[in-house]
Amino acid sequence: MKSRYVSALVAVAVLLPVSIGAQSPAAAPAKKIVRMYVPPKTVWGDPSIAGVYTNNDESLIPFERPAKFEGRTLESITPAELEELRDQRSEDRIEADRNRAEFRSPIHWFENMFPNNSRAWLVTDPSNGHVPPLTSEARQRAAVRAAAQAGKGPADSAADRSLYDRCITRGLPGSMMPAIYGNAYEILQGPGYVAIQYEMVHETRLIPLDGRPHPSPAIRMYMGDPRGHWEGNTLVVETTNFTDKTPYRGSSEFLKMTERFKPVAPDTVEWSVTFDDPHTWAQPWTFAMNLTKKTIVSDRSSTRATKATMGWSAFSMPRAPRRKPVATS
Amino acid sequence: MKHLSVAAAVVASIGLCAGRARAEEKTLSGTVSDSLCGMFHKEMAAKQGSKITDRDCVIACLNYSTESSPKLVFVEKGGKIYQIANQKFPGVIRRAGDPISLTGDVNGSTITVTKIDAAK
Repeated sequence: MKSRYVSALVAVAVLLPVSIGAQSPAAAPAKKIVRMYVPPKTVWGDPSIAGVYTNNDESLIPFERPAKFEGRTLESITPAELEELRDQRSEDRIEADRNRAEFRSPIHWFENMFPNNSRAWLVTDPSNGHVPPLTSEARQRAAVRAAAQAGKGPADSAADRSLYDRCITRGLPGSMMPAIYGNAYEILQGPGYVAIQYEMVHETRLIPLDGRPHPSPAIRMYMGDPRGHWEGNTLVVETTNFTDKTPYRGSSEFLKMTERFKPVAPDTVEWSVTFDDPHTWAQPWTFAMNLTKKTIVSDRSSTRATKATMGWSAFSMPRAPRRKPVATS
Repeated sequence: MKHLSVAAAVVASIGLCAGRARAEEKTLSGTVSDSLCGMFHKEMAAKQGSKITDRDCVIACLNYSTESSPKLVFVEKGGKIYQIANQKFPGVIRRAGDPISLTGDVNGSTITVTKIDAAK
């Protein structure tokens, strides 16, 4: 009997600190249960990510980790810090516009003045948040380009202007980088294909999903040649066969760009892009941002591009029944 | 001379205290608007075919940014309107039209914003 009491006392003595420890705030935080979002399927069985998206909310995010966050990871930025960053970035953007001497445009023209940024910076890999340095080969290429342009005016001929200036292409990933307006993208799906149409410049990429090989390296394209496949619910698109006319941050025509479209919520797809180009960077690197689903896009701007997109969105959405014209006297 | 200096110091410190007493830190609930519309954006929205939100209305009003152009104001629940002394405080314009809690030094009908929170 006595030994039973002793055992009970020992058990209480052992368990008490454990339960107190579990309740104290200094205890290790409980593991978060993160439920993965599972998107619905298309009728032919692919994950469904189709829709009209925008990344207006990703405007004004610095590409690389700002100096003030040296040593921090993206995950360590608190919601309060992020909200403060959003406020400051908005104010800085407006202030920059206020201080423009030559042409001060009304702020409601822009779609990127008040973004609800999803993160503090874009580069996710390497973990230091910085794009790896250029190789000597890439620096040499840049010097050759600069030398070829030396002594020329900015517009001696049409070819002196960029392909974007001439509304030919924004290239990749430029076509999906948020700008002052026109940041809508429609993802369409069919059996064996995904298509992405970009509001700005109106290009469309047709991405086969059947595993066919890329064409001969002799064939080079402004937007490269994309091939897609599904990894779980994530659409993975590998693009090669770029030209040297659409470099991104000094990339070469040998760039292999891998995009991942990962649905993370019913209205959100995380878009990440990995650059693999040993002719330009010593190691591959990645940036990421969110695309948010919209039903109506770009309703503030009156650009031709926007009107076209809105017309196109209306075409792809259920139509209201037509009314009979009202007779006028 | 000595008496004069003491008297001047006393008067100055009374003045300072009185000045401080006038500005009082307060937390107010309401929305950021513009001095043209104040409490209601209905009239302006009607001119635009009612297609604009309160926030869009504020942003559009602030565009004509001369010295005499509309400024951001704070409309407290109940209708009292405060001039915002520090117009460029980060987040003020971004939250135009949203229900918020605004903390700041209130001096008469002017507020110098020190903090913004979402409405509780």
